Amino acid sequence: MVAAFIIQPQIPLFRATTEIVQVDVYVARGGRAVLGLGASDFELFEDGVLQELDLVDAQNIPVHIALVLDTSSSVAGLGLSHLRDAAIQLMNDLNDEDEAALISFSHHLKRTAELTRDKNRVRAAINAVEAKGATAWHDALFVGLKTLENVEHRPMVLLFTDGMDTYSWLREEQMLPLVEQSQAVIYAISRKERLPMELGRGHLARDRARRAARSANAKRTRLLRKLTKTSGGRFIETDTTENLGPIFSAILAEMKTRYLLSYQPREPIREGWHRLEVKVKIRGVDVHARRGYFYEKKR
Amino acid sequence: MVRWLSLAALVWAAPASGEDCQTAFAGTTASPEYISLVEAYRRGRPLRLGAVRAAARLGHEALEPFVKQLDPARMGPCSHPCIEAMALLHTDTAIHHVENGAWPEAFGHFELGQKLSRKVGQRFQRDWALAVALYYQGRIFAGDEEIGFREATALFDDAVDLYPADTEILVAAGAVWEWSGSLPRGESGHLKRAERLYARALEQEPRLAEAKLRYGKVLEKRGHFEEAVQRLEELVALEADHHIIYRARMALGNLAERRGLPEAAIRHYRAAIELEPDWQIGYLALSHARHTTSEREASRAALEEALLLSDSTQSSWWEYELGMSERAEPLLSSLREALAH
Repeated sequence: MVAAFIIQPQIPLFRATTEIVQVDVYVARGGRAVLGLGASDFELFEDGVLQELDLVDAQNIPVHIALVLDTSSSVAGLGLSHLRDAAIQLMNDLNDEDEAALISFSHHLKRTAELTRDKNRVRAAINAVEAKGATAWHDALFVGLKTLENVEHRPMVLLFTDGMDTYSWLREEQMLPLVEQSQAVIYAISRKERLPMELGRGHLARDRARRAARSANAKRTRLLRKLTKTSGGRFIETDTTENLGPIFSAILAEMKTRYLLSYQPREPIREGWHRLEVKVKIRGVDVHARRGYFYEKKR
Repeated sequence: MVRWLSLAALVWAAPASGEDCQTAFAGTTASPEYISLVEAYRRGRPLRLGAVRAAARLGHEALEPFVKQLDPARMGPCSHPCIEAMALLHTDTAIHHVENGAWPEAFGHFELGQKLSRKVGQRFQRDWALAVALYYQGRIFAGDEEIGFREATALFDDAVDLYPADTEILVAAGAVWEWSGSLPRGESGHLKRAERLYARALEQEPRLAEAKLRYGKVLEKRGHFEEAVQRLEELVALEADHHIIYRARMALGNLAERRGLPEAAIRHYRAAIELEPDWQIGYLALSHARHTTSEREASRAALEEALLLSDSTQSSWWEYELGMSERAEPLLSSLREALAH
């Protein structure tokens, strides 16, 4: 997986003449990280042109994580308790230099902890979240991406949602450009939509409702898969909130084992979308990397 | 246990108006216990709550045969406060069951309430139908999505047939179909249905702001952008409630973005924020519009404003989605209060 961005403090996208592109890549075999690769093991093509790569030691570069958590009423009860525990565990797993922010959402958006190294502040915010209202994860993801907009290195969004988005201002078709323009790697975890219970009054209505729920779930997961893949991250679907703790921890571990490729584009960078393709010269591995980056001059 | 079956005879007895329920129903085959419940309910608080609880203790099995026997075709006109009290007693009993998750029991009482409501004055009948349909609509947002939609639309269909020129009913009915048609899994036919209902409301009352707003929104959702803009701009020119104008501005902003006019969108969002500076969604929309025009700092500033605002039901799209469902309880309250007079 890849976060592609230019090293330009305070500037989210490319500028000036000596832009360096960094691409965050995860290499796995059989679901486990492949470690110990060097720059010569990778090939990276920008708009079809092979680039000369350096490998940055990502181990010492702090992660900047925006936790974007669904706290709508459907999470109330045990689900919220599992979510809190998982988020606290994630804070415990972060290094001192790593930074985290907390954005909780229902139909209302809250950033209850700014991006900070102070994990206690984030823990306190996690413990204070309450579950109520409807789900608006499109809007919340926008807040998460904006929170990381000026982060120089290794921004990531960890989004948890368990419902279909019906209350966001931002429409589905507005989400992909936001992700393409961001540097952040997005991991999304979603609890499967629960099918309607038997409510009496006819099998037909019930079956129709169940089919509709399945179809809605498929649509929602399609969008989450697309957005996470575009960012170089991953989408994880779970039946239960009980295993959120291990899932959050595994995601962080994955982030920590990513490679950070760096290059100076061979061609002058033009404004617009630049397609990226990352290959590893080893057979049988999965490569997760951003599919491209969007460059625009600062206005 | 109340003898339910004897109640049917009571309804057909058509008591004279002005009497209390004990007197009105004296000599009928209605059980004295049931008449006591109705009388207690009619007298108002605090007896009303006890009557509802007592009615709720009646099992569904006991109620069902009675509901079947209560054939409206066999019932003559019998407008009387006691019949209204009965209708409301069963309605409140149904609500009591819903709040305890006992839907099968609730259905029986709602059904009875509906049958009884049709035996009394048209005003009561109309307000009852609207209130209960809105109550069901409210259940959609309380987690009973499937039941709420099914029952609300069934009741609204009846109400629209009975009161085809009632703009309040037309708009409320349209809002339920609009909600359903706007879901990611929604059917486009539902939006068309909403559009027709709003159009009928506007035929009756061309300056009805809520109908104009919703009509414009549905046109937008159906992709008829030019017509939607025209309708919404007409609305903005009206002196309407500022909540409605806010939503019209937001909708116009959204339409401008869809038509590739971000600067126009920004103007509309800023106008919306001026109307409702404490509502979060205006700032979020402005932030996104600024983001798309590459005004990153301004975008972040707008978002920061949004995140400073506290949660408020009105501040979100909730209120629009809820439609008029929050009117259910005030409508029922006014019907209850009228019993005492």
